[in-house]
Amino acid sequence: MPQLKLQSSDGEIFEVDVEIAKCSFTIKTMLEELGIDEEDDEVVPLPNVNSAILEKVIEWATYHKDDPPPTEDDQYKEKRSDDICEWDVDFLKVDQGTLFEIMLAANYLDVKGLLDTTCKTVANMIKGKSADEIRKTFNIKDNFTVSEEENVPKENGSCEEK
Amino acid sequence: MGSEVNPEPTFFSTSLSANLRSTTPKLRSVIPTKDNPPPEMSEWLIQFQLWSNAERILAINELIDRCEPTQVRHMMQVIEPQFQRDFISLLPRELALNVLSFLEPKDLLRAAQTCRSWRFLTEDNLLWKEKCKEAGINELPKRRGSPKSPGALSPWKAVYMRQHMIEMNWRSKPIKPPKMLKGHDDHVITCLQFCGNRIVSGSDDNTLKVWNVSTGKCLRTLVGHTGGVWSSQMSGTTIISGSTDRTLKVWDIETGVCKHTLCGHTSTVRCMHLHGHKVVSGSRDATLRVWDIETGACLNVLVGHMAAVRCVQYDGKLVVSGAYDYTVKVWNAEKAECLHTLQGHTNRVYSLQFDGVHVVSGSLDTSIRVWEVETGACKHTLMGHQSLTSGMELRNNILVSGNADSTVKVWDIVTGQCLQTLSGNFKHQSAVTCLQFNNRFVITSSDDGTVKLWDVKTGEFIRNLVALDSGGSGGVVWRIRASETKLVCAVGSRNGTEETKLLVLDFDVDLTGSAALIGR
Repeated sequence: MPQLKLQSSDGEIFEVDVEIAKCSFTIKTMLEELGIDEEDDEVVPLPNVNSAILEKVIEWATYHKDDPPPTEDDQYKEKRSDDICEWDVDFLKVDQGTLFEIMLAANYLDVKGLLDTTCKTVANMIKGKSADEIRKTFNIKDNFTVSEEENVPKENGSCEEK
Repeated sequence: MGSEVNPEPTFFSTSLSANLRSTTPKLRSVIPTKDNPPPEMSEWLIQFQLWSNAERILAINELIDRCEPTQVRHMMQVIEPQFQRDFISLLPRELALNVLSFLEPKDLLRAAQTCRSWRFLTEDNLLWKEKCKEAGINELPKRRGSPKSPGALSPWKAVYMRQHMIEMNWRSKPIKPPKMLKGHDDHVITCLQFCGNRIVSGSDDNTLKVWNVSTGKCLRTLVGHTGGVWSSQMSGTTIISGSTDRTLKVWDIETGVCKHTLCGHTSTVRCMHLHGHKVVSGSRDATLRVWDIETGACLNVLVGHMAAVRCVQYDGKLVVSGAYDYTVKVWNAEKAECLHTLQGHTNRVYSLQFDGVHVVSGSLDTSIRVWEVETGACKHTLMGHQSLTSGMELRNNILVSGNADSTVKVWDIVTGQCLQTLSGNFKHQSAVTCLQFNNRFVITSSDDGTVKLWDVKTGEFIRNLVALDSGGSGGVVWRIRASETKLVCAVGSRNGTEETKLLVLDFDVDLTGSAALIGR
């Protein structure tokens, strides 16, 4: 299996199967457009991803390497977040800072499956919580002015009884 | 995160603190603060910074080992928020919206109350467009003055909220007292049309009445038939009526003028279906006629049934008719040619639905049959009802049937499966007279004097929308028609217990409240 060298922002080099690296649409395009030959001993620099996060992304891509590629139809599918596979749930049991960085990396590297599963994970952290609980979960300061505060619940409260 | 905010300690606090710590061997003269650190601390920190990563980790481990539990807890309180991230505010906008797109409306509304940046993002119009789509709302109302919830930036959100409030009004909010539109004396209301701000009721008193929905006033009475009116169709300001006097009449409801009287049938006109400017009528004379309602001309006569025609459907090209000869016929309207005779029912056919592909027929033989219009083949025989299927409605592949056995069934006509039976403890007590459904609700009326609301997906009874006091002792609901926000019921009795009238129930959102908020 041909290998590819990826260099993280802090200079660490990761050797990865080309097929796994191509989970990243960004890397895949880079390889195609720059015409980097798999035989070449070139290093692909990834200045936006540090080694800790790159390691996580590679771990995810390795586990999911045989997943069917995302199709056009996917975007018309019903939006649901209760379908995260068990492995991903465990994999994403990390602190919020790490999860945040994985999301940014998945976005930059254009790894659709990883981006999706992380977005769903964050959505699940919001679901079913009151505004207060949400603030506590994400360490958010309530910055509404008094008059806004008066308006907000009136406007948005009516769905609660559902 | 300075936990002790006391930049200039007073003598009193110092001595107090000293007293409290009298057991500690070494006392400081002042309480340490950020501005007044212990003198050795900076040295200690400089040393820490000089170390390598591995040395620092080692030092931290040793430090934690030497801490009291309360100090470790303090550490945690300082450290924890550092690992929290306000994802929605910090992520690039498209990622934050991607996260929010997985939330249900009620979560989005709660998220909006978190802080300003969340509120701003949860107002995203495309996000709400998606939520509207999931809820089956595919269009923004174009009419002006569409109600907006105050301060809402997103038109799609406003539409969603309005629709949600209307749904709650149908489901559970107290029902406002209905408008009562009295007319037709003690006669039966046989047919009912409701479109925009107009209701047209047809009666066996030989007349039709045109009503203004918002005022509840009878605008005019359409007089001319010499026999009872038993069928009608409406389009815009035109109404067509069929009577036992063997004619159809075409009326302008705004002027009350009878534009045409369509003569030709030799017995009662029992059913009709309008498409564009052509109407197809079915009669007890066993024929159907195709008419041009603009010119009043009879375009064709469809001959072939052996007994009274009871129901008809017309899509502009094909006519489907059900008759008392137990058959359903498919006709080419233009060529007056019978394409198929659908045989299988073992009793009179009373009701029909036709979507251009499937013909669904309901019969006194208790079965409902699904036919393929192209080939004339019977695809399914839907069994389960105990009596006459008097009314049906077909939307996409979902069929809802109302039966004289007092139950209502929901079917998938492609698989032939019965999905729900609307019965149980709160079921109708006698024959179902009329029904209507959308993607949420089924509304049914019955000879028992009630109108019931059901959940179309779960089959659960939600509540009675109408329950006549005279129900069970003669009061019946003959016909119902509903719009998104209004329900019209034709009620009465045959024994004088309930005066003949129309009830109009309004489930629209109360606009006065939100209008007042906007005006502020």
